[in-house]
Order: sequence, then structure tokens, then C-alpha cells
Amino acid sequence: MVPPSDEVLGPSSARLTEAQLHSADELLPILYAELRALAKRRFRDERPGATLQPTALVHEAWLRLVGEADPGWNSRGHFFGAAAQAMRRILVEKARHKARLRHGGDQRRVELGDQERTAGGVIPSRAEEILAVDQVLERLETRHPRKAKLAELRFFAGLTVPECAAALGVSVGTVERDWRFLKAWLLDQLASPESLHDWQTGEPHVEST
Amino acid sequence: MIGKRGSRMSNQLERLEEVERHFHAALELSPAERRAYLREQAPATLRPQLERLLAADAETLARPQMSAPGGIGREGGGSRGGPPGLEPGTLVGPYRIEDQIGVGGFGAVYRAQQQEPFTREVALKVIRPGLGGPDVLARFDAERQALALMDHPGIARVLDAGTADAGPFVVMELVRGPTITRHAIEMGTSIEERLHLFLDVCRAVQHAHQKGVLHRDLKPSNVLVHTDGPEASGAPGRPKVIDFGIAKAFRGQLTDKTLDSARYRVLGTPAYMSPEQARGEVDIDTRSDVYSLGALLYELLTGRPPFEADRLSELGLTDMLRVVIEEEPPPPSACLGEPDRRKVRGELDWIVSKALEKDRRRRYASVSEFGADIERLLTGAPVLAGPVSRRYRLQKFVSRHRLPVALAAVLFIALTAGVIGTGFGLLEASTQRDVARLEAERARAATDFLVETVALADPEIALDPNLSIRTLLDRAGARVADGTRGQPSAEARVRSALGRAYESQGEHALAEQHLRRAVAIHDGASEDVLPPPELYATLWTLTHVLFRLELPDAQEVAHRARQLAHDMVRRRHVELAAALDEMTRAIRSGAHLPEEEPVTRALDAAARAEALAADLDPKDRTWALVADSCMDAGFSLWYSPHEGRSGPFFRCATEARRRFLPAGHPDIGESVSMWVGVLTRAGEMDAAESLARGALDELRSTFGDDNFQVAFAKARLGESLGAQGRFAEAEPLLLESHDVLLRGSGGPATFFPIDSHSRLIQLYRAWGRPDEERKYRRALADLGARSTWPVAWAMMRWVFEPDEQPLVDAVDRFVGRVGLIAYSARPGELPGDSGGEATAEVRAIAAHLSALPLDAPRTLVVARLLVASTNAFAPGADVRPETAALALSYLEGQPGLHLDRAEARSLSALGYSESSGSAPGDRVAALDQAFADLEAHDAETDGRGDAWFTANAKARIGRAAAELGDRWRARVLLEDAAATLRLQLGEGNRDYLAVATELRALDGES
Repeated sequence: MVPPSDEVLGPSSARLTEAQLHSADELLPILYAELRALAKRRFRDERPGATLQPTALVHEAWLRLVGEADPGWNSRGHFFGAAAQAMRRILVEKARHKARLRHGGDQRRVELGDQERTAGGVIPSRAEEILAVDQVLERLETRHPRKAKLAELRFFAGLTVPECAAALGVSVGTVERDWRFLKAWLLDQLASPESLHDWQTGEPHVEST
Repeated sequence: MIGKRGSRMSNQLERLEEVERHFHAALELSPAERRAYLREQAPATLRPQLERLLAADAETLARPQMSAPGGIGREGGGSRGGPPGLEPGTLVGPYRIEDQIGVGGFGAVYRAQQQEPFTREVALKVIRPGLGGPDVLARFDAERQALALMDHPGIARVLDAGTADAGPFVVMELVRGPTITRHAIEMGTSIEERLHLFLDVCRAVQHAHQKGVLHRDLKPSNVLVHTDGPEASGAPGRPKVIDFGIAKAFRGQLTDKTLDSARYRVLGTPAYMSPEQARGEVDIDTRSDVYSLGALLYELLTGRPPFEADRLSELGLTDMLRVVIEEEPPPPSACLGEPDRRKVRGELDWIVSKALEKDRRRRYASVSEFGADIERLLTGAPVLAGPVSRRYRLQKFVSRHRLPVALAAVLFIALTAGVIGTGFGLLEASTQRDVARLEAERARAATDFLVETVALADPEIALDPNLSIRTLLDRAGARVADGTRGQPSAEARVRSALGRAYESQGEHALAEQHLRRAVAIHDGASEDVLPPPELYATLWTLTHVLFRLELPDAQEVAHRARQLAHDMVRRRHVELAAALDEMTRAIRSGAHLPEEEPVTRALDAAARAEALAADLDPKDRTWALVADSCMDAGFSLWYSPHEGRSGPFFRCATEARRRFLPAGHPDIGESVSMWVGVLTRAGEMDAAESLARGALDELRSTFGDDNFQVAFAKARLGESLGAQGRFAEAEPLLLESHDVLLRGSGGPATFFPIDSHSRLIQLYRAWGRPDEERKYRRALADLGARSTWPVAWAMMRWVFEPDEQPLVDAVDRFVGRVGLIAYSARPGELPGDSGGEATAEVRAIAAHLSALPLDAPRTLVVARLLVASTNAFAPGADVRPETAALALSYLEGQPGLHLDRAEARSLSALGYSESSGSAPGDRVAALDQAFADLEAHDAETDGRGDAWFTANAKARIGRAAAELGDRWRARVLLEDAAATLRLQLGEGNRDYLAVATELRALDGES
């Protein structure tokens, strides 16, 4: 049995320092650990079928690690940028695990499936979607990092349009415009039959030259 | 394929900016202009992609719930082509189709251009073929009169209707913008802003209601927040309700009994439909819209409808309707994370629940009342809606499922007792109020889950009001594996709840199965499937069940439960935990001894714990630990020489349980009944009788007569009346309870049946009715012969005299039992004694035997028993010195018995060496005396004694000598023992081998 203190109190919630908030190298591992712990606890606490909201987790992590006092938009931007990245990793790991289970002939229903229902549909929910989105974003990052970052913030941290604007340091109008295009573009990418094939084979994606 | 995609993608990425530029440029244009733009301005290679992107964009706008990647996967791809729709340019009456903007349950929706009498853009809905029927338009015409009366900025006007080649159509004001829920998510609006948006919707719907028009199909996709467009009336950024009155005209058939599920599906998800609509009732009124608005508010707050569309769509028609009609959605706050959870929890949960009441009489009477309550919330005034009381929930649950009240009570009580009563977790919740709320939610969720997955899944259960609780639980038990397949956490929780429900019914054997399984699932999972409070409740109940079933691992489970509870409470209430610890330790170490001191120490600790607990909040679950620890202590004393002193512990447990459990709870009944028993035996008849009657009334009002705890309370009352000489009053109570107690136990030879027999025997003996007395004595002797548990024997001594055969037989069986434990094990290898199970068993036997007035032959038995038993345990087992001392106290002054005395003395020597206070001389002297006793034994028997028994005793004393460093004596004794054993039993005997091994070890050391 896990010692009760871990169960109840979760990981240490030492507040982040100003320096940590601005260092992506430091922020990412902290957030990764924090979000994983929060997600784990949420999965366990909630009744079956309850909703896991990555958005809520990210905001909860914010309250725990930063607190109520707002250190300003710049810090928020760094924080949520890293949180989105961490959340993406966590969700992708889960999705891979799930996809493996399914293809490994494991007939059990995977419980996480129920709990990853999305709130308002901002966050991709099904394992295959998460993996497909992840792959598409991976390619997008190589040439259009800002667009990829926007998608990551929307998908994996569930940031609203104004929050994305603040995090990326651009205007709300720009985000709205970028997002409208990105949405259509991603939808198109994901609708292509190949993109659904890749996650199913589970093979690493090889760039042809 | 992978390679192909890779190259296609990098190619696309290179020109992404160019694509984006054209995309935005095209978006500025009307659809007709777009086509021209793509043809003339965009490079041909990009054109197919641009067309796809624009189509995807249109789709995200038209199907708001699909507009984000949440639905990107299959739906996005699968419906790209869409159902065959009208081509742009097609004329429908005076309207020219521009493009399709959506597909709904009724048919497709298009953006169209009205040509005359003036040009404007409208939304045109073409009713799906087959849906209309010849009378649809007639009905719609009637409806239009009412629709025409509506004039409100929050309502999209219906402009026209007619029939064209494509079918019947309706024309409405075109509203551009996302649905209200989409808008809220996209803009990240706060809870307050969402409530203001929602109030606008309420005002619009209220306006329609005043004009006598019901909407009947309110849902997020019918409430748009319009952002621009000169054609639309009302201020930008405010919500607008579309499709008013359409449902009545086109969904008339919904009430038809001929409705088939395929068609039902076409009409869309019932996620927002009121229960009365789902039942197909004709009499629909404004309160139905109140319900749908409640569902809308639910989704606005949480991002999901009360019943998830995915789940509903997987169900068949009947189940889908059943869900809407019967199921309670979780409170909105339960779907949220912090900080929103905190804002929604409480009043807003209550408001939404009131709007979503299944019984419309309990809903807000009107939309304006609903809106007014939200306004009160926003201004900080007290709201009309309140928390749904536990009693009401119970009532509703019962009437809804037509189950007997008692089942509901049993299930609910079992669940809340575990979670509310004995939870210790959730320490992070900031206030007690939060804790209580959170737990109530969880308890309710678990009840719902149990009822949903298990009870309701069997239609007979829901329909037959006459089924017994037992039958219901049995059916639930049979379904649990299927109902929770693949959800170990759910299975564990349901089994835990079922086990606790069975336990409160006295069904110990069945309780054991479910509880054990729950614990096994928990232990087998990589994560904790039962949170600590539930695990604790499960273990604690299991402990009791195991004790009553007389199963050997009871102590082990009890130990684990205690550890868990103490760990949980220690962090918050250090002193209290310490007092309870001390109480438990004193009882464990001393209850079986004749000395008063440990009991006095335990009583002091209990008094201290009670004083410390007085400051606890009634909702603090630490109360449960106080109660459980006191019950534990009370039970230990009840079956010990100190049974008369168990009263304060049962009183303390009763009072603690009354603080945190609802009246009539079976656990209160249990502790009261035990307390009554103590008072009765102490001769405090008035107190006993009034307590017993009170407990019986409370329990009976909850459970009726056919219940285990009720029977137990009756038995205690009968016992008390019998002790006062009121035999005629006592008899019916005891006889009524006798049947239930016999039936409800794990086996005939267990605690409750024996207990009940002995009460009847005592009654008839005191009453002077020898025939009845003899009947039950025979039955009890028969039961006693089948029991191997000391508690059973301990109870029999209330009935039988020490020299009566049943009791003598029982003593013999215990000698056999302890002998088995003692001789089946070598030092350090007693199987399964990690939890002190065998130690505890021997202790319990020792305690009961010590209460017996001893004549000489029995002294021999007892002494042998104790001495032999103490050898069974690993070196250092704390039972050794104390039982050795006890054995010696029996053996001193008895003639003969040299061998037993020798063993006892060697054990005292070990005891001296282990207790730090004694001088080294003491243990040397003790060992010397042991050796002298051995010599006396050899001289007396002249080698004609039981050679095997003697050899084993010598081996044991030799081991003690080795342990004490007296190697010479150790070698003499072990060699002696080895020679006898080899001669008697052969070289393959395990006793011989063990001694031989020890001898070699001794040689190796020297």
C-alpha cells in the first residue's frame, strides 16, 4: 500500500521561484511531475465515468505552484507554455499505453478511456486522436513553431484564446485568426486516412527523403 | 504509405504560409466569390487543399461540438462529404441556397439568399424526407400564429415556411456565431459571465412562455451567441435562441407509441430532454423547458451535458430513456477542477439540481423563478434551492425504484457509514464543510453506481416491491462482476458496499466473500483502488465478520485495519491517537491475564481519549476510530476474565457512534446491545432495559423485524427482562430473535447461535421449565461439539458447569488445538503468525482457561497447554515470559508435574533474560531449577514416561539453555532428546532432524 501521506497530500507543493518560472529547463520537469501526480490522484478520486480535464489540472497546478498572486502575464506565459508541453507528454504516454493495450490483444476495457472525456471538446480525447495530433504537431513544430505552440496550448493546456494571446505575446485577434486556420488545417491533416494509419501500426514515423 | 505521407506533409509545410494567406482571403468573401477567387487567384496545386480547408472551416462553424479537435477523429473524417444536400445555387421557393451550414436532427440547414421582396441572408431548414408527413405544415401554420407574436432580441425570428421539391422547409433569421457553450469555452468566460449569458437565455425563453410558446428542444446548438451580421437583431455578444416552436410542429410524432428507435435516433440525443418528454407524455408544460435550461446550464458550467452524449448514444432506446428518467447526474461541481469547483459547489449545484429534478413539481415553477434564483446568487442573496437532504434522496430513491425502504436504508447506510462515518482521508480539503460535502457526493455517487450497475440492471429488482433485502443483495452480488467488468476500482467499491450491507444483515459468510474480494482487488492493483477511508471501512467490517465466522486470519486483518486507522488519524490528532494506541496495547497485552492493572490502564487511556475527542467536530471521522477502538477493547474484555469491566468501552463506543452516525444505524445498535449485556450482568436492570428498548425501537423503524441487529437488540432486551424475573415477557423476544440469529450467521457453531442458545437455556433454567431447558442444552452441546473456537467455549461456560461433559469435551478440543499449534511448529517457523494470529489464539484460550476454577487433573491439562503453547513461538515472542509466569503460578505446589515445571522454569529463565530489569543471577537460578525438575522427572518416571513427550520437552529446555548461553546443558539435553527421538521415531522424523540440526549448530559454534 502507498503510505497514506502520499495518497492524501500529493507531491510537495513548494512554490516556484521567479527564476524557475522563467527557466524552461527547470520548469518542465517540475510541471511534469506535478501534473502526473495530480492526474493520478484525479483518476483515483473521481467516480468512474467522471471527466478528466487537463485544463483543470493545469490550472490546479498553477494554484499549487504559483498561488493566488498573479506574477504577471509574462510568467503565466512561461508557466502555461511548459504546462502544455508537460500535459502533452503525459497524455501521449497514456495514449501510447492504451493503444498498446488494445493492440496487444488485451480485451479489458481500459478505464482511462472513460475518464479522459473532454470538457467542451478542446482537448483531444481518444487515444488515437491524441497520438495523431501529437504526430502532426511534431512535424508542424519543425517549421512553424509558433503555430505548433498555439495548438499545444489550446489542445493540451486548454487555454482560452485570450490566454493563448498572452502566453504567446501576440494580440487576441492574431490568435483568433491563426486558430481558425489551424483548426481547419489540423482537421484536414487528421482526416486523411494515412494519419489514422500511423498510430495504429505504432511504428515510429520515418521521414522519407 | 508512411513515406508518401511524409513527403506530402513536408511539401505542405513549406507552403503553409501561402495556404494560410489564401485561406483568410477566401474567408472574407461570399461563397460565390470564393469559388471565383480560388479559380483565379490561388495556385492550382493548392486549390484542392484550400477547398478542403474551407470545407473544414465551415464544418467547425456549423457543428460547434465538432469544431475543436475533441471530435476531430472519426466524425471529422467520416462526414466530410455529408449527406447529399442541396447544391449551391438551388432555388427553394424564393430562396437561393448558398451553402450548407449544418445538419440537425430535422434535416439540413443552409445559408440562403432571399431574393424578394428584398435581399437578405436567411437560415433555411429543409426537413428531412420522411419526417414531415402531410400534416406537418398544417401544424406548423397553427404554430406560426403564436410564433409571430414573439418579438425579443434573444429569439431568432421565424420568417417563413413552405414546401418545395426538396421537401417542407422553414426559414429563420440567420444567426452567425458559435453556440453558447462553444462561445464560453473559446472566450474563457468566467462562471459569473456564463451566468449572465444564461440569464439572457432565460429572459428570452420567459418571453416566449408569456406568449404561450414552448420551445421543447432547448439545447446548446439551439442557443447561439451571435457575433456579427447586419441581418441579425439584438446586441452582438448576446445569446439568441433559435428553432422556437419547430419541435412542436415536427416532433409531434414523438408521442406516438409507434415510434421506433431508429427514428428516435434521427431526432437526436435526449441529453437535454426532460424526463416527461422522454416518457412520451403529451402534457408538456413550461417546466419541461425549465429542465432543458437546467441541462443547458449544466453544460455551460461543466463543459458536458448531465448525461454524456457518447454514453447515451451507445444505449438502446429503452436504456436511453431509462437514464433520462431515472438517473441522477453528478452535481456540476463534481465535473470541475479547482478553482471552478469551489465556485460552483453548493448553491450553484443546488440550483442546477432543482432545475433538473425528475419530478417537475419539485423544479422551479417557471423560467422566471429559475432566473430569479440565479440573480439572487449573483447578488449574494440566499437562494431558493437548497441541498437535497439525505432523507429526501433516500425517499426519492425508494419511490423511484419501488424497492423496500429497508434496502435503500441498508445500502445507503452501509455506504455512508463507510465513507462519511469512517473516512479519514481527504485531509487536503480545507474545511470540515468541504469534507462533508465531498464525502456526501462520493457516497451518493457510489450509491448511484451500485444501484445503476447492479440493482437496476435486473428489471425484476426494480419492479417487484416484495423482494426481500436478502434477495436483492443476492441478485446484486451475482451481477457485480459483469456490471463492473474492467473497472477494478468500481468492482472493489461495489463489493465493499455489498459486503458491508450483508454484514449489517448478519449475512456474515456472504459479507466475507465480497469484502475479501474487495481487499484482494485493492491489494492486487498497482494503484490504490480503495481510498484509505473505504479500505479502512472494508477491513474493519471484514475483521468483525471473520471473528464471527471464527476464521483464523481475523487477528491479522484486525491488525491491518488498526494500523491503517492509526496512521490516518495520527497525523491530525497526535495525543488522541496516542491515547487510543495505549488503550489498545494495554488490552492486547493484559486482557487475558487475571491482573487488574492492564485493564485499569486501558480504562484510563480510554477516559483520556474521550476527553480529547470531546473537542472534535461531529463530522470529523476521527470519531469512528474512537468508536471502533473502544468496541475492539470492549469485545476483548467481554471474552476475558474481565468481562464485567467492558461496559465503559461499549458506552464510549455507543456515544461516539451516536455523534457521527444517523439514528437507527446498525453499528449503534451493535454497541448498545453489547453495553446492555454488560449492564444486565452487572444487575443494572433499569438502565439496561431502557437502553435496550430505545435501541430496538430505532433499529426496528429502519429495518423492520427480519434483521440481524434488530434480533440482537431483542435478545439483549429479553436477557435483561429474564434476569429481572419477567420470564413471560422475555420468552417471545428471545424466541423471535433466535431464528434470525441462527439463520444469519456464518455457521451453526458460531458466536450468535451459541450465544442465543445459552440465553434460552438460562431463561428456562431460571423460569423452572426443565423440558425446554433440556431441549436447548442438547442443541447447544451439539453445537459446541462442532466448534473449535475458544469464544464458543467461553460462552458455553455460562451454561455448563466445569465438570459437565460438553465443557470437558470443549477443553479437550482446545488442548488438541493448542497442541497442534505448538507441535506443528519449530521456533521461528510458525506459519502465518506474522500478524500474531496463533499467538492471539493461544492467548485467548489461556484467558478462558484461566477463568476456570481448577481441580488437579485440569491443572495438569492447563499447565501442559500453556507451557507447550508458549514454546510454539519464535524467540522473543512477548507471550513467552508472561505465560510462563502464569503456568508456573498454576504449577507451584502441585504434586508431580516435574517436566512441566521444568519447561515453565526454563521459559521464566528466558523471560528474565529478555526483561531488562532482572539480574543475571535470576535466570541462572531459574535454569538450575529447571534442570533439577528434569532430574526429578527422570527419577520419578524411571524412563517409563511418555518418551516422545519427554524428549520434546528436553529439546525445548535445551533450546532455552542454548539461547541463554549454557552450552553444556544445552548439549546434554539435546543429545538426550535426539537419542530418544531417533530410537522412537527413526532418522527421517522431523522432530529428530530439527534437534540434530540444532546440535550441529551448537558444535559449529564451539
